[in-house]
Amino acid sequence: MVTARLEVVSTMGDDEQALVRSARAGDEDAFAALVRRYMGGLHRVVARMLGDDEEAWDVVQMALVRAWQKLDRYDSRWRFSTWLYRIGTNLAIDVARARASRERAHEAGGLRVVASQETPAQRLEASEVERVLRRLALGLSPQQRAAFILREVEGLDTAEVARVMGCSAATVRNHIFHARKALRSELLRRYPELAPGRQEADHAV
Amino acid sequence: MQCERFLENIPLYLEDRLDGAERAEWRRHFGSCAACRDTAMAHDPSLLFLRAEAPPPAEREVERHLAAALSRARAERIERRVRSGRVRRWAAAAVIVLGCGLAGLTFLGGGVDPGEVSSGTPAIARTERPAVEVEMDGGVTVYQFAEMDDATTTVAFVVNPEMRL
Ligand SMILES: [Zn+2]
Repeated sequence: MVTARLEVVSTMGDDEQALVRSARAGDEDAFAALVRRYMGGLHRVVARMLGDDEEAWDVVQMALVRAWQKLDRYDSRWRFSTWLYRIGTNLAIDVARARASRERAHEAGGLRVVASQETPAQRLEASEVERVLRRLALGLSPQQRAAFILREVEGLDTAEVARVMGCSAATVRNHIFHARKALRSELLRRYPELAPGRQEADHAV
Repeated sequence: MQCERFLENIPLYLEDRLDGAERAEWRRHFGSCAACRDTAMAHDPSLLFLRAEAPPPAEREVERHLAAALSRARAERIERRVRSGRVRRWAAAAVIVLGCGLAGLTFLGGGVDPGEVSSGTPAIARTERPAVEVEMDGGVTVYQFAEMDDATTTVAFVVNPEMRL
């Protein structure tokens, strides 16, 4: 099912603004209440970017530490979630860059096809799609991963993705264009059974 | 959304030219109509990933990582204070170096000089961040500046309640 499942799109209510004020005054419980609601979503985005749940939790923890330390720099005209996602996404991009060589080695080590030849895309479980996504996302640049995951998979507005990534909407679209192109070709190469009837058409793209 | 309209909008979706409401509607139809989904995915297989779904983390796990993050933040704050020498001004911290296997216990005393912190307890300078904290009765908080498997573990006792972070 494709549904709006990202908490980040929720509007910033009075309750949230009050929590931000209390947290700024040093109230740790208020800060905890503020970030708790976005941790699951942030973890999901980072895990999709890094392909690793545990490493993603470490990044989420780092993001929370930064947010707590730099709360005075938060501009309340933004949604708090956008600011938190920005911190987390930037950290994830740094981690992805730092381990780029390790990923290349991993990729060269061979891939396990999760879907059998008899499993067309429409019958693939959502969790299997998730696994294929995490695997193929590693082949994208960190920015392409962030843009594609935030916009296409999580369903954020392009404008919000641009704010999270600190770039223009045109740049977000450009990252997504290249991400799609790379994912398309990797899907056809590694999981041709997931894209039936696509082989000939792809040459026209 | 009608199937026909959905199919017409495939190129517009891919080019990010649908407005927010149309786009949301298109994604909903993609999720609910198998025939249209197949056509769209034949057009661009990367649309497969609209179906990705990660289970939400357990509440327990969220709480564990939240507590760990807050602990990290507190530990970083006190380490910065120790490094910046504010600990001396407060005359608040006592630093104990526990040798390997707790064999050589050395008490450096209260009111630590920042010079002593860096030269006398190299574990602080060497360690990435304090890792453990224990709260004791009477407002005493203990921060550990090294991992348990390190050869040397440094523990700072913060006895002034105003230093509590
Ligand atoms: Zn339809």
